[in-house]
Amino acid sequence: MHRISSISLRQKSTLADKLRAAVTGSDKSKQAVLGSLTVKDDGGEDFRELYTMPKRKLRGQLQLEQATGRAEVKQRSRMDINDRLAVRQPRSEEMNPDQEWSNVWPAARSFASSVVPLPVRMGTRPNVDKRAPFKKEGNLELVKIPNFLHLTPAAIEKHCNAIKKFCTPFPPELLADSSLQQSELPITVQYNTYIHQGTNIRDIRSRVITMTIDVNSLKLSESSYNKLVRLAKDRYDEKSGLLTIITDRCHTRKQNLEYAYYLLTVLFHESNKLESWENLEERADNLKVNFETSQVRQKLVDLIETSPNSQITQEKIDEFGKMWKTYRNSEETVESTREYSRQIKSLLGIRA
Amino acid sequence: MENGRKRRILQSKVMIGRLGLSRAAVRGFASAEPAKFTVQPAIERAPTDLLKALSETVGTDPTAPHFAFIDDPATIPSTASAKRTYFMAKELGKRAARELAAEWPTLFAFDRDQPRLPVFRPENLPDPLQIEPTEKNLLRMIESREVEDCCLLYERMRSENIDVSQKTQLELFKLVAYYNSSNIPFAEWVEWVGMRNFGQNDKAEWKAAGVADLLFETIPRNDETVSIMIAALSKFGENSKAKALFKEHTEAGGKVHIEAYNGLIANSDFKSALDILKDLKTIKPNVSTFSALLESASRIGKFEDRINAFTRIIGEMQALKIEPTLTTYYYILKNIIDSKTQKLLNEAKNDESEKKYHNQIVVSISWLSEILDKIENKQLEVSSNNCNVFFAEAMGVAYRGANLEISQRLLKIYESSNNNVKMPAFTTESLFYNRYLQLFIEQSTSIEQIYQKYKDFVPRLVGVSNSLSGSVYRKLSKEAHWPLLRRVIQDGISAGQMTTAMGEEMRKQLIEVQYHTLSVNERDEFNQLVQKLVSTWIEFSKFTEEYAKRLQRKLSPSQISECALLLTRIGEYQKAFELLELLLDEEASHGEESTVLAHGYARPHVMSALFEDSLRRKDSYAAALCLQIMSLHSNRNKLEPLANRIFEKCSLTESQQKIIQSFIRLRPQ
Repeated sequence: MHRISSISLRQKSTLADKLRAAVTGSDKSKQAVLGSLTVKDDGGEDFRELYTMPKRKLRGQLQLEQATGRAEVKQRSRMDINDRLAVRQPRSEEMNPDQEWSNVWPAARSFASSVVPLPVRMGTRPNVDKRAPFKKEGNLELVKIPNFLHLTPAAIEKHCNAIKKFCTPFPPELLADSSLQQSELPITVQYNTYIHQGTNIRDIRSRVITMTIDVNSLKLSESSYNKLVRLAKDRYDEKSGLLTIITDRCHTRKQNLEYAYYLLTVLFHESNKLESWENLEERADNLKVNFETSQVRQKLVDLIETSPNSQITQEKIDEFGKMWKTYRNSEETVESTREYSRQIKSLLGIRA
Repeated sequence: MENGRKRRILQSKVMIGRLGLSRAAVRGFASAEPAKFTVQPAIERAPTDLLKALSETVGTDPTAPHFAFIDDPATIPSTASAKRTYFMAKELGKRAARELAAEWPTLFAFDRDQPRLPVFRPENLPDPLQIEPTEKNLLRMIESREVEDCCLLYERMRSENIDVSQKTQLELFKLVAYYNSSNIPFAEWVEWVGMRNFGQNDKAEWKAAGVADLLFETIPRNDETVSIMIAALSKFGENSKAKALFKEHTEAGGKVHIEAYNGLIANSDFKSALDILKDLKTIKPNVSTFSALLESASRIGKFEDRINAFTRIIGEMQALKIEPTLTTYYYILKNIIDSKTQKLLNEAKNDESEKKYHNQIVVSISWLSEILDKIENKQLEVSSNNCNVFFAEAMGVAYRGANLEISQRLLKIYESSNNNVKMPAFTTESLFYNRYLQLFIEQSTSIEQIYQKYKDFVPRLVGVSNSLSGSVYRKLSKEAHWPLLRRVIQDGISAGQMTTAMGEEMRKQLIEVQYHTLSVNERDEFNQLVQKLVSTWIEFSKFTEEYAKRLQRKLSPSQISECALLLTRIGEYQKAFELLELLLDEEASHGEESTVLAHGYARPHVMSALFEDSLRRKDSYAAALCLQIMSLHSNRNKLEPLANRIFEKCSLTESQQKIIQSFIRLRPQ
């Protein structure tokens, strides 16, 4: 609201003043002349008042009076008048209620109070019941938070309709049988995209590619599989059967993706190769302890041979062998030890 | 966060490529088995097709400013000059930053990325006096089109007796002849849009004995070099030299290229242009030849002859199956109406010149209508650097012919997706829309439609101007429309019209508003607007300090009376009469600190309205004030009936009546 400042007037009587004076019987001009009374003491000296505080009103006092409306605010003309006048009305005022919002706010941008025709409020106040949170004008809190005014359902629908012409139908077989996805699409590629405000739009972290491959789908022979596991080291997770390749040594995501494929190809072919020195492999070189060539099996076989009456059969040995393999190749637990004891006892015909 | 800088990161984890990669996987590992599902082949699309499709979902926002400006009430410019200032400020700031970055590149090294972005390491142009004088460097300069630097380097190389090959000399000759040995004009600045559109070069004259002439003497003469020289001479107004060279070369049995012919034709009068055209035996003329011919035909003084020439040229183009371009139409439309006739009409209106002018307008409108028939539904492409001006010129013709239908057709063609010829915003485009809007305001009968159109165009496409506001006010004085009036006044305030003659118009329009017909909200708006206007005018009047005097606009008595009337309309009686008292205060109008103009008088009809208003409120003091102000410029006979009305309406004491009576008696008879 614009206030009209007081207009300075000379103390001169107009016709209206004279009319006023005729009713009240007082004349302003006469009233204005007031002599100051000087007090003298007995000795004829001026009475000098004790100084306690200045007689003029202090700045704080004046400001308080102005704020409470007890004193007239003296408005000065300011030099930036043309700049102040050039400020337009917020354009949200003249927006049609049936306008296309996606034309006004087509892409992500910080909140602008002059553009959004919503009476939104934001912020905290001690007593919300008494005073509502701050309104949108000049409210930094609204600018700070990310808004999704560009992603209204109507806008998203428009975008979808616009790009629909570039889309092909999702394979119906995959929709019908989701397990196909696991078997037919063994490679998954993951990457992150970073969006932030800064001097440029690039982010070095977005180059990283994580590729996971289901090793079973490579259909490797046992020796190739063993070789792949050795080459992949901790990149291979035996439990899930997934090989994970993370590439980040190239500058761009595309390069890293191509590099990941290169690594996978190399790994695959390297695993399938059989070098001459690989024939020198001994039992101790195996990744896992093998039952077939173990001393336990030999002892059991010897036992069958020395005591033909024993009830140990080849099937029983095989069954024991399975258990033995898991027992030896996994972490020892109470349960697995008990199982071991149970099986060896049943094999040897010892009653518990 | 990196470098402790605050960053907002939206992390999105995406799983991609299951489908796309599956083909590779299937091929690599399980090629023997047929795929168990089918992936449709991807629909082919160009790299930007997706973005284009998305951008088509976004229409225009009529309330928004041009995208070059910051979307904030304080930074949306209202007038054409403000737009120019804001735009240039932005661009020149950028240029200054670029300059600093080129000078001290390490201080502005924002290129943290690998590989480096060259845009973050701008380089200073090489100094032709410092750089090594080699042919390679010269060629590099020619490529970057630094014409003056090229000339300097070439001259330096010559003085140092360094050989320059014929090929390089030819390249240099082409460059300096085309640009007349001066730097490229603003119109060709690619990167700096503001300079390109607002920068104005002086009309250049051919630099005689410059590098171009020197090179022309040095390199062997053949058809190509002579043609280049003729075209360059014609371009820079050396018509006689160009003709002499042409004559000399043709007499020696040489043939010049079509560009040289075009240059010669454009600068000759129509008759000699036709003669030159006859020389074109083996060479086929192109569109530019006909544009040049039209340019020379435009110099024909007589209207009928000019129209005949245009008709002949168009006929010839049709015979040769050359499709006219927008440039062709531009030359025709620009030159149909005689500038002399228009001038005569502006100076002194008489029947003959008016009839002549009218006839020319009719002809130009019919030509324009024919042209629009041809270009409607046609794909329009850029053909030359001034083909976009066609639209502005055509709108000018439609405006002068007051033909709204043609202008609407033209607007439709311009805004259609078939049109790829766009005018530069803020200059030609703003002129185009301004003409259209003015025409619409003048011709449209529906004030509501005018309001909608005005809201859509101002200030996005058309800047606020006195003539535009004036035509809206003229319309508003015939039919009231508060939202439009409010909008025009607010635009006027932000366009700085308050202190011009339009300020008076604002007051006049506001006084004419029928306050009782406004709704509650509208009354509120009216009150706020009046408060703002009056307080601003008072603020303008109070720049009494010496350093601020240039801003001061003193209140005139008529202004004070009108403001007081407006204030009484919104119920601010106290302030209204405080304002009126200024008229009786001598100190307010005289001396260093004066805020009121000494000359002028309060408007009589406004004062009588104020007087009636105070009588209605039975406010004897206010009525007395009005009486006193009216007494400044009227005699006793006129004042007496007014005094009697005060006695009738207000209850005055006897002494008060006496005071008034004696006041009246002292007035001159």
